[in-house]
Amino acid sequence: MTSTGSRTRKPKPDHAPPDVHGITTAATPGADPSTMPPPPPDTLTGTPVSATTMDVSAPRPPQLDPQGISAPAAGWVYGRVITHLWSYDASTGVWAWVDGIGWKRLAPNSEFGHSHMALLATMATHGNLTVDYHEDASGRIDQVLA
Amino acid sequence: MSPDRPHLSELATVRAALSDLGQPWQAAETRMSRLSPEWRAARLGVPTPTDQDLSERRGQPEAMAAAALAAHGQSVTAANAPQASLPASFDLRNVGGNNYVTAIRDQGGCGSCVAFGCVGAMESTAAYTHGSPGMALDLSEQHLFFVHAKARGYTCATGSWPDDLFSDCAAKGITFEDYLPYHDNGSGTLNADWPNRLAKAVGLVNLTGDPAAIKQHIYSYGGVASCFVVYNDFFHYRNGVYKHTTEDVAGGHCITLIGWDDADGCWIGKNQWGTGWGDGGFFRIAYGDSFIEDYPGDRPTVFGCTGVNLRAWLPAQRVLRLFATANDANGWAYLQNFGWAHLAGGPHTTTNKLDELTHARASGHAVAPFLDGSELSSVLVYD
Repeated sequence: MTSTGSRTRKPKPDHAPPDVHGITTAATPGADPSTMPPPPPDTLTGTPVSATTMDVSAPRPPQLDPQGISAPAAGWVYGRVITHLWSYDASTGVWAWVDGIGWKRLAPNSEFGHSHMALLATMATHGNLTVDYHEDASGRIDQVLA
Repeated sequence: MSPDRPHLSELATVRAALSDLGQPWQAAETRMSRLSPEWRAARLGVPTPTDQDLSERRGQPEAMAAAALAAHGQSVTAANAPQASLPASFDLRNVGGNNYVTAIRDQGGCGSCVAFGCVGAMESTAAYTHGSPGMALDLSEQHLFFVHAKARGYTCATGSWPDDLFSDCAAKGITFEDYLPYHDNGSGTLNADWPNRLAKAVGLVNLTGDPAAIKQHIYSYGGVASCFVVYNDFFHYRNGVYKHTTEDVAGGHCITLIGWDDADGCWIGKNQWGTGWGDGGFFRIAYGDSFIEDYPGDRPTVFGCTGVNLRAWLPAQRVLRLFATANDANGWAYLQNFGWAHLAGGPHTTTNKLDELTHARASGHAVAPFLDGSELSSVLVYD
């Protein structure tokens, strides 16, 4: 893992609902197809598997830039870049470094869901794609749009 | 006047009437003008109203026109609508620069217009409700008319009714054009795989006699099939806002309404007489005129649907976004010409599909999706 170098503190992530920032829903007629809609409305319809609370004893990734960490958003964050990924030897042990924000753990609600979000985070990192993501009340990423 | 071109004298009569009315629309020699009265009538596939039906509807045009205009600004409750209230004008061909209306067709010499009206409504509804102007769905009018309507006893000569045919679109579904192309003589063989290349209308809505509801539906879901009385001057329509100038009834017809314009007091319609008639195949007709909101007689004649379920392989297209959550099997893909589709199956198959789709998304490779409703059942990634 390499350092991302010095970073400037970003403002607190936006808590605005998904229908702002010029993004319209998929089902919205008239939407420019090149303008990506937000996630489908029933985004949490999967089956939770052994949902856990914040696992404070689990390993945490190395700090890349203390200045780059901000408070949990507990809501949608738009147009961010994931520059690093970190994992440890647990099935739900992936963290993502969000440029300007810091390390964010992918929520461990289920092994499959965790892997699916990791897939999208990997794609975004590899392709330099921006992502929108949603944080739960514990500041963990529980939805990824890439 | 040439005796073998009798329509020229018809045109002269229509133009004189239009001049007296201040030229609300322009008449010209169209491809329909040149047909004999018998061949024109062959294209009118809604049973002609009786004189009594017509006389019982006196005052209806004025009432419908008033109701259509009064709908301006009415609240829109459907989540799909672009704005929260009905605008003064709307055209599915240009919604924020996007066109949700499929190409003009030609029904030929058969009274199959109701099939075209229903299919036109379904095609625009599919594209509009998915926010995908590039969907370019082309459904088989032949399947609807020469298979489903035929089973009800309808023929080119008898015509048909939209309540029956739209019900068939919902209950049985219709295949795509490439599985049974249209021929006005009914020839052709239905591809045996048609159940796997199928579109079904869902949420059938009867909008007859309610101009505000018609506007609400077009604005929220897409085009509607509508029947109207055809007067003999309609065959010569080129552009402008059509109002009948003669009381000579040629028959009944069905088209797809795709918008309106309160400033001109008119609906915008998509016909299926080829691009050589009307304004490139489209037309504008005054609110209330020709009983377009409520065809004389007992049957409901204006229908729409709130969605279209597809079960088919769609053309290869780009994956524009992917979405996943912390839960087990909740993956979604936004397809360029379809919109959001849920990755079908359990957690393992979601993982497999996401593997393929992330590759396609990152590399720009196209994918051919097999969709069953909003479920993405299969994915073929093109190299």
